[in-house]
Amino acid sequence: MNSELIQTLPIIAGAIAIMAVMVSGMHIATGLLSLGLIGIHFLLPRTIIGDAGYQAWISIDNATLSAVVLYVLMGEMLLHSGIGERAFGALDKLLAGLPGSLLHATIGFGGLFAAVSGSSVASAALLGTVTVPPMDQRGYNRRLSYGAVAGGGTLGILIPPSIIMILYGYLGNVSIAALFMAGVVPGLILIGAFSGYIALRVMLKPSLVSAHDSKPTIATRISAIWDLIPLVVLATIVFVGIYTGVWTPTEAAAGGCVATLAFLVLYRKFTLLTLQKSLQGTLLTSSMIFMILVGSSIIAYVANFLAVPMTLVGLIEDSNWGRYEVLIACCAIFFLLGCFVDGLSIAIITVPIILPIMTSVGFDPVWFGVVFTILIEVSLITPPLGMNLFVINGVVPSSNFRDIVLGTAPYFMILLAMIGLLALRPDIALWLPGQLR
Amino acid sequence: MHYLRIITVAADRMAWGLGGLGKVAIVAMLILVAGDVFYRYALSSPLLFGEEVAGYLVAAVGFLGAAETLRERRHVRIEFLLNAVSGKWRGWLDVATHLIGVIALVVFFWHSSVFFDRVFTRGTVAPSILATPLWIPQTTMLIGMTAFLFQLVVDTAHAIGRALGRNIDRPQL
Repeated sequence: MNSELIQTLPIIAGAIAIMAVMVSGMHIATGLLSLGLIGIHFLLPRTIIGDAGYQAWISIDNATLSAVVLYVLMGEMLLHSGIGERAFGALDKLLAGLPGSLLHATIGFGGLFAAVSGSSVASAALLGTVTVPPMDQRGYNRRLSYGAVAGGGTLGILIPPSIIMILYGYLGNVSIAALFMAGVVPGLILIGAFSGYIALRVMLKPSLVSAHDSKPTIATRISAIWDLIPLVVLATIVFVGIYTGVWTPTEAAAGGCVATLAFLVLYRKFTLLTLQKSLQGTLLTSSMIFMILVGSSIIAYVANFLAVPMTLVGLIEDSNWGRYEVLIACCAIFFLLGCFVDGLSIAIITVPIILPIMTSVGFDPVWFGVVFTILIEVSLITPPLGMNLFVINGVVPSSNFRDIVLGTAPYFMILLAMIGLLALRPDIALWLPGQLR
Repeated sequence: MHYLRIITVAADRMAWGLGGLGKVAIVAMLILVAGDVFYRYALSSPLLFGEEVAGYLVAAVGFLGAAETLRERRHVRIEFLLNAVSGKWRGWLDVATHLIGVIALVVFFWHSSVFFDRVFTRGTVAPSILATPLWIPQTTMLIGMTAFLFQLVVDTAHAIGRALGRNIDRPQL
């Protein structure tokens, strides 16, 4: 047996074990915890009782992670107050007149709102619940509707604030502000590409969307702007504040929460019930994320002790693979993972292993952060097994799975093309972070 | 079965109560970070303990909320294999996955307790201005994981009941 195989076999066995735990039906947090503890007790040369407790503590005793909690809180307050849903209605009115206005509104709503929901699966569920019924009522083609929901859901984690990017930055020791900025231009290009695709389809076959899309009066459109103001102001607070260096991503999150509370009062939506539901939702999402972090941190501790990342980097260096071959292999792994596992879990588990490999072959960590985020989302809509496809199928009871797969396929191709574009022109992602003050 | 109902209510109340403390930690975190911004920009004097305490609050949210998250079925669980098997096998596979989780949490609790004891007996303090005795914030880890384990044990008992065809309604809080 050659030495490469001997080095690789335990790593492959570990990867299979992680996959097995993931699909077994265990809670991912306890599944990862059990694998990490097996590693500590059976793979390390000397087991020190207490190590797992220490690793767990240092994995989440970190102020950077308060950004996760506060961005989720901001999203929950917008969700439970109804301000988010009103923004969708407002986008519909403002875009009325465009062929397939509700589809464009869905893409825009996804971009504006899904960013703060904490989980892409939850985003797809929310978008499916809020946007599909009105599209059905107006007789939109179902494949187009489902595709817009799946595509719109992918935008959220690319445009700041993005929970996946915070976790990537935290786990990979990469500037979160730079990552946020790097996601903006690719995110805007994707919004344009998604809307362009919709416009093209509707232009070629107008019967795909309703001929009964009402055209609101100018007064209605102006009043719709009132409903959009909160999301626009919040996005400005986060984006401009970080861009100009006024505050860090965590401080921007706190500023966003305070501004959201002010909007709740201004729009007379502030109630104790809204606050209670928002805090409950924030607690559940945050704890879910942090418990996965705890489990994966113990696995990462064992993997680092056994020099797994260094072994993988060495294997890649010894092989004659070029950087783009490594990138393609990475894409293939993500597509496979996305068929079984939630995006957040994929991010938390893979960053400590994959980032050192990608930087060792010469990719910029900020650039890869953007590609990584897009990959996570692509993996979740990979036909025919991507998890978000099943989620949409679940929240829209009358939906046909084949329609969802076929409707989503063009968005999958656009996202893949975006990764190709980023590989050809890294400055699309890296230009804005380079302007950071 | 009567005892299981009583134990379930106890576990659920514990999860709910600690979840309440987790929510207080979220509010405290918001006040702390927003206050830090105010002090830094309005009074040119940042709170020197802000980062340290924010870290403790993050840990409190994670650990104190773990049991409540389980009670509310919000810990991510991929039921790919569970859905692929049918009949009684599904029930027993569900029991097995729960049991592995319980064993993992028991071992983890052992590790956490030893770590906590070490920090407590050595009087370890944070290398910061506050010099916080670290056992104080780390108490959230011990309490939170106890409630998480308790909740998972109760869930396991319910899973066994389902596998045996004796489903017990979960009392509402």
